[in-house]
Amino acid sequence: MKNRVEELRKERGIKQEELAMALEVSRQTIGSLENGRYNPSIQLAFKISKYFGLSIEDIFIYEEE
Amino acid sequence: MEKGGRTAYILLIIGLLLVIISVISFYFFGSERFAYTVVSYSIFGGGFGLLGDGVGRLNAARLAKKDPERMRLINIEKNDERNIAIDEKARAKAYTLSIYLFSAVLVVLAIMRVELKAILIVLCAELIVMVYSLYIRLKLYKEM
Repeated sequence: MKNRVEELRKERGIKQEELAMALEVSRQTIGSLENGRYNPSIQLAFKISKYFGLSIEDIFIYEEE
Repeated sequence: MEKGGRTAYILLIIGLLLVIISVISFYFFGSERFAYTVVSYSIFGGGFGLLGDGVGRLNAARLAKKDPERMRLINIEKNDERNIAIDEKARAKAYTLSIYLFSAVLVVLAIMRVELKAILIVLCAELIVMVYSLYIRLKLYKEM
């Protein structure tokens, strides 16, 4: 699944560490999310969408395999 | 005193008591029977394990009081969902490997013509692991 986390984070001038702190996850998790290596849990997806003030569909792009 | 600190002290005291008991029992009964030696060593090992756990918990409780921000970072790292997912996946893979290993050990023991009792003990251990896995699976089917 693709996502716009990196794009949204950079738009707002936030560091990976700061986003990780706000979402209460490790910086590595943010890195893996941005690279598309890790798909977040539904809770984390909601936290991310709430943090950026967008809907989950605006951040995560579902692709048929 | 906080709950974490209290648990740490309780573990330290129990650990220390077990170590003392094991040393005393080894000193007085260790040479009488091999089983007593094994029991003494086991109590000693368990006691030291509890001591180590207690020291670790005590350090964590002190750190939480002294540097709450660092403790928060440690907790974030510990409860991080990706770390948990990685840990669970690693355990699942290790479980699969353990089943193959148990089977291989059973074959090797049979080839070596080891006493049937020893083979049955290993077989029981393998069966317990498999039944436990099945139990957890059924439990999770109901819960999830």
